[in-house]
Amino acid sequence: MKHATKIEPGQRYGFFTDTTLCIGCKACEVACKEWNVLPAERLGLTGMSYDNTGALSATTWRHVRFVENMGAGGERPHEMPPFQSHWLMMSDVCKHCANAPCLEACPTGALFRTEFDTVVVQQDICNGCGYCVPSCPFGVVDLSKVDGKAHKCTLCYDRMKGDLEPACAKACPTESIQFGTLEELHARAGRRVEALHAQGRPEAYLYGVPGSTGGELGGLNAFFLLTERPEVYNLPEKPTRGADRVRPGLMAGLATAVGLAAAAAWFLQEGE
Amino acid sequence: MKRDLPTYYGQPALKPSPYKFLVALYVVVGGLSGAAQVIAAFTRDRTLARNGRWMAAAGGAVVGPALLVLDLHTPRRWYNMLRIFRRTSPMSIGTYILSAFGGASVAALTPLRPLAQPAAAFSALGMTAYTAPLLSATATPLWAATPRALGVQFAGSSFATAAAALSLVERREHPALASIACTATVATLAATAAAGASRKRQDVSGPRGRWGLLYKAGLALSLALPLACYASGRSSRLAAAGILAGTLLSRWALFQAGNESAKQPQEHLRFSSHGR
Repeated sequence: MKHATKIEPGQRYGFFTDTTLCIGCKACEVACKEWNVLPAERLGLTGMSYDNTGALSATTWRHVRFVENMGAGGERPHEMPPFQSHWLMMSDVCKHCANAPCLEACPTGALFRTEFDTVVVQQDICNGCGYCVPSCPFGVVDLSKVDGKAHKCTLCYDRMKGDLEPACAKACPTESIQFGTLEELHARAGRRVEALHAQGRPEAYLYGVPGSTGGELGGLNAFFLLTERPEVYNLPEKPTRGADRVRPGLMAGLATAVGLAAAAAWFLQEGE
Repeated sequence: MKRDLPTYYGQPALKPSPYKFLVALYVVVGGLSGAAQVIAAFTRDRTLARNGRWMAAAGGAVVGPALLVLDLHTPRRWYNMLRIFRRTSPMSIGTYILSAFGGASVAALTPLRPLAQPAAAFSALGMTAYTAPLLSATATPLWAATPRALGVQFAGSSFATAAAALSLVERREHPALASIACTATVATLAATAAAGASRKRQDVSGPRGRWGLLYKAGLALSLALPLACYASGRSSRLAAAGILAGTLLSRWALFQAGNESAKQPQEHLRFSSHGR
């Protein structure tokens, strides 16, 4: 995507990852590692599809998933549809949620929302408490064993400040990864879904746009066009917001504590 | 029968928490110190009150904070916890509850006691309650599925462990402490049963495997054994020891079983398929 306009603070930016265009070249993974100076994690094969990356981690911020649709019962189908053969490829990334559970969990303020509406860990503040790690409903944030801080995709905060689009979007040869303002991306994604439906792909839908599947959490700044149900890509159908569970849990605990304190007071006054 | 959802080659869809024994120990110590302060505030027995205050100060101002700082991956930056307050984060809420409780509990050992002890006993309620939402506000399916029941369980066992620990350091039998421990254990048992039922409704598994066995062993020690002792009216020291050892064991197993559940994509995807 060649963005024509300037990248301006105050606008909401994100990624639209169109999985029907992904060819699984992993250029996004490489570009991300190069720009962000992230080390290789392991060399060798996982023995699981063409996915030798495995998962997002403290040093892997783009991860291409390869799903082979084998047909019913794991049986190899005899006919191939004239579209993408049987492989689904999806370049996964931090979703930069509107109501980001990692940010809502962070007790130090290291995780913050930038002027571009993205979610970034400030490395000079993070103290490695690790609470963001289990709080992310997408399993994105990870603690580094090397420096003891939390790490994840920054949506190339530094590049955006320099008016450059993020490295992965820049490197994507098929425009499967598109960068831009949410307004523009939502409009473009809507048109793409309509075009695919017109081309005989009625299963295409958006994941992570407010009001669509995965649109909980106020929507995702990095959203996706998918052709299978979300679970096939390991995405939750309705990601939950941990902050919603704070009040019920705290109230139940406090009510119990008050009740038991009253009981204790009664026993202690009676007993002596 | 659990619904079978597709997953991505069975690969984890979540990252497990980094919390293991140290934080589980903190949850027990923090809750115990909180409830010990409440008991100290209400008793007229001077020895019991002094023991409770010392226990609260040691746990709330020394052992508890030390365990938490040790568990950080960049411990020298512990004070960054005090940079902000975030009401959506139980860890941030807990930072201030622990600070208030630890400070007030130390002050309650000085001549400032008339002022400090009520403040310590009030913040102590938070100490017994905030650690459950700390777990259930994460995406970890085992913890997230039952926020209310977990809240009651943690607060209940805080009072049970405090009464148990105080009765072990007392020279004479204290019927009031046994009554407190027994009441708190009944509440914890009820919440544990409710948690199981609620997980079943939501299609989420309870603690499984090795940690599931340890969890059940912990429940037997901390709930079944003491209730049997109190019902038969003897051996309240055995009951107290069972409560302390069993609560620590079941808390630790709950942490580890939760971390395991985060690695099971089926658990997370099933939990996240209900509207809530």
